[in-house]
Amino acid sequence: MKFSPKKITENVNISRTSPLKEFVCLLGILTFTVMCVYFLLGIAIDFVAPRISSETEKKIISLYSAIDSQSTNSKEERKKEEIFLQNISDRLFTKSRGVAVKPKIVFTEKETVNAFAYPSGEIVFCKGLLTKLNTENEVAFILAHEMGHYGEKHILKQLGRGTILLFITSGLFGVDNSLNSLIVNFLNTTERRFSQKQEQEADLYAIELLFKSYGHANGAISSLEKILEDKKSSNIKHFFSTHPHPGKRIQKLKQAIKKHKLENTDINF
Amino acid sequence: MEILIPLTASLVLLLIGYFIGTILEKKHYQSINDREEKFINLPSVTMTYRAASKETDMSKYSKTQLVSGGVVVSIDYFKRFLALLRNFFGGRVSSYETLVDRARREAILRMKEQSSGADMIINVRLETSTISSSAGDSETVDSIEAFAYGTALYK
Repeated sequence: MKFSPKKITENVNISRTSPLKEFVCLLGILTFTVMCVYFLLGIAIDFVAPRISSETEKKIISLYSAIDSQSTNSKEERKKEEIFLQNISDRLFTKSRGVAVKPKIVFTEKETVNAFAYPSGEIVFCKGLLTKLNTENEVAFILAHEMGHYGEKHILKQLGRGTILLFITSGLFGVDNSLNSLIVNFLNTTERRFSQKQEQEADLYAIELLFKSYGHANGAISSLEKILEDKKSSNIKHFFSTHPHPGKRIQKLKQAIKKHKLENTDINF
Repeated sequence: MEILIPLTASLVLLLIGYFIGTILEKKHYQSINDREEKFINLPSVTMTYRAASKETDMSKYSKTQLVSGGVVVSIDYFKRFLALLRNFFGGRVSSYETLVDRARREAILRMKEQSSGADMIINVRLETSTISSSAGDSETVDSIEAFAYGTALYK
């Protein structure tokens, strides 16, 4: 047997496929599948959440309030702003629909212009927001809006969606995985659309509740206008935001007020 | 808007991984091809000494020596990600194929470089082992070690 050197020109050990094409295909299929599952389960939650009895909802809420009740339940003196807000909130609560537990107002000294509704049934109201508002109607609109998140079962829906997201990401790919972050980011973008829809629902709920409690919805527009400054900002930025485009938000509200004749033209603020 | 930051971050990492990884791989393949051509007249075969002695007269060799060559190669971020996706669906992990191919050929080349002046290398064996940090599960280092060894025969 004689050794004859031969140059190997064809490499059979590696595939001649385009890695980029493979990447786009695989990621596309995976993202699409996960989004479909997420979307379908989301619809299921939207269906189930309004049908949960208020007893069950109270139980769910108590799970969350149990955690931070120690810090807030201590019998320290409540601030006068907090009592003022609580009174308005209580007045709104008597006319509200779908709110299982009477919201508890927590006033913080933070300068941010914001208010939050927590799963525990607490509405956190920031000082920065209160200083921007002038009339009781304006404050009532904000509280009614936050109450809308309870009334429209947004809290339950979001708890459900959070659970699904956790299930999909950790269940399918393991807890810590670089694939996770990419998929979660894609899902979060759809989550933002969902959140924007909820903000609008809460707005509409708020003017309805204002009308029921006060006989008109006058504070709504001025309240929104005061807190949403960048009305002329780009649409692209707001596509990725949790809240809808401020200009559109006000416009929608104006339309709704006109449509349902909620404005009291006799009183002028 | 802040949601775009992690998304772009991972996309940028993938792009950097893809472009730099591709350039480095091409360079490595170029070097492998050149050196393989240079060593084309040094046969390295899997034959045992007994089998080789049937083919050729062993008395002409004055010296035998163990020669070896090892290399550790890693893949880029992009290919690792691609393999992760592949792991999910199953199928041929083509992004790892070039990694293994490069490692084996480089190991044989290094073995040949070590045995300069040899007439032939017999009894060549190839070992492959994966190196990954099992301690930190989050960022495993996917690299492969290829190790080639054989008996060099000198005249």
